[in-house]
Amino acid sequence: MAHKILIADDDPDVVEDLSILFEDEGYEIVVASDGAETLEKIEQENPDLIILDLLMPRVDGFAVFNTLKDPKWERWSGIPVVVLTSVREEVSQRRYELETGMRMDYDAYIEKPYDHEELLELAKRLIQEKG
Amino acid sequence: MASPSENQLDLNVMRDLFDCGEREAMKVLILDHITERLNLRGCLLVEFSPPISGSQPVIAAASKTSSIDWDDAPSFLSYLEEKYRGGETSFDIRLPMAREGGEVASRRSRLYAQLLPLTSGRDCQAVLCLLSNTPIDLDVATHESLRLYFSCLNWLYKQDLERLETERRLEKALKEIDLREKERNRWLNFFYMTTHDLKAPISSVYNYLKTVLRKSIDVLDERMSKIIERSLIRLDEVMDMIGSLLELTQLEDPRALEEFNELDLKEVLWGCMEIADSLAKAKGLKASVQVSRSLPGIFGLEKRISQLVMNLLTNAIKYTPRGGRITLKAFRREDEVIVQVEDNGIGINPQSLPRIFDEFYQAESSSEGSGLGLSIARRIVDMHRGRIWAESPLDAQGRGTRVSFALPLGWSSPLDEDYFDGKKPSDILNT
Repeated sequence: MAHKILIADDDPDVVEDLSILFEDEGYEIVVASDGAETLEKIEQENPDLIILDLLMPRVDGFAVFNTLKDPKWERWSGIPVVVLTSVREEVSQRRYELETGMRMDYDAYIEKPYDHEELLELAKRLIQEKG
Repeated sequence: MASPSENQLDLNVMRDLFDCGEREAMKVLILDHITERLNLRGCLLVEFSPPISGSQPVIAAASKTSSIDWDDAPSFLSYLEEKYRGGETSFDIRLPMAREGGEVASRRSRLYAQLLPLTSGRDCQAVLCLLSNTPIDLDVATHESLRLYFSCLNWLYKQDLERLETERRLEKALKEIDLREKERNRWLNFFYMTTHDLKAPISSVYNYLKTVLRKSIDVLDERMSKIIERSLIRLDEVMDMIGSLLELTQLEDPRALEEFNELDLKEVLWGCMEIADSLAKAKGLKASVQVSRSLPGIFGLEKRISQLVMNLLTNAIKYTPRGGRITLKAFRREDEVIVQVEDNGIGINPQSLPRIFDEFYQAESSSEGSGLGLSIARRIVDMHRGRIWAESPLDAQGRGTRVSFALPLGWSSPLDEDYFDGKKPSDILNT
């Protein structure tokens, strides 16, 4: 069965580009354009990997990240998360620490612009490791 | 003419005054001397503070030797305000000969007051009130004997005025700095946001083109795929430039200064050289290091220093043809640490040297890169209070470049000179 990747980004171009990229490699793609939808899709689709943008409307990626730490979401807490954003890593960490007092422990942090090959390789590795 | 004994007393006054040093105490001391000398009930020094027209007068000092029950003070003060508002126009001591000895300062205690205004500029700064049980008659001799005290008081007020003027100017300058700082930050922010927002659309186009190229490789003719490849290269340059511009604005952020630390420069340099060595080898260059064993640590940002050194090393590698060599040197000279990156590459036209650290300046021979690398380097050196310079050519054939930067030793707080710690200008003058 094909592995499932959830792409959560409010930029339709990023969603489109990543969809083509991963579908070509045989992955099944699920998309969400804001944080609330992301959480819904995680529950419904139980993806193998989440590619998460941080700055999204309504519920942002930080909140999604924080929700996944909640014991109620334990079932999905093992899903590897790749943060894909235009925000610098130290700035994101600083903000998350200010809001929650903790550091984000994602599996990878990629600053946009991203590299296709690098992303493909990373996704493959993370899904294999956690699978 | 003052008698010898009076001169002796004057000398004592001066000595007392200079000994006590405290300006408020000095005033009281002067009043005590006057009270004693003229055999008065007491003296008051009423000041208009700050010395501007219309300000409320206050009793600044009273002779300790006086024993006055000052029950009518408020009405007396407003009387003084009325009388001396506006005032005279000279900076000299003015000893009015006006006979005002008959004025009743306090109805209850039947005091008589002689009022002597002290003026400077346009304003009356203070009024010296001589208080006595009997009407005071100031004759020429008494006047003469008061001269010294007046000189002292006048000197004090002159200092006050100068100080006030300096404070005012400092305040104005600080406001100006603040305003400019705000304006600058506004523009930096605007610049940052604009540049940042260019990133997403450009990288989308870049990725789309890559996808087109990958998926249509069989249908595109050679010319078309070449066009797309060239587009990708150009977009790559734009993204590089955006990255450098963002980097430059981030370096302007004063918050970066808070993250300064003691750091082991030797370790940073070796770390950089490790990476540069493999890059150099790949290009067929010889890389060597000459770092002084006793190189002291510096105060700074490790990430930035290593970015700076890497920047210089990759430049050297880029502009040195196969078979050449690059050298990293570091040593202490007096109270500075000097780091040098040397190559025997194509060299720089000496006329271009002064400008190579400017934004977007590129020596005519090169076209690679955004032209921002060396201005980022200079900015990093600036934030570490150092200097950066370049020498070229290093040999008679016009080859070789040496870029050096010097970082000062012996400072450990990025804020120690540039900030006033939220103090008011008056506080600064006091320290």
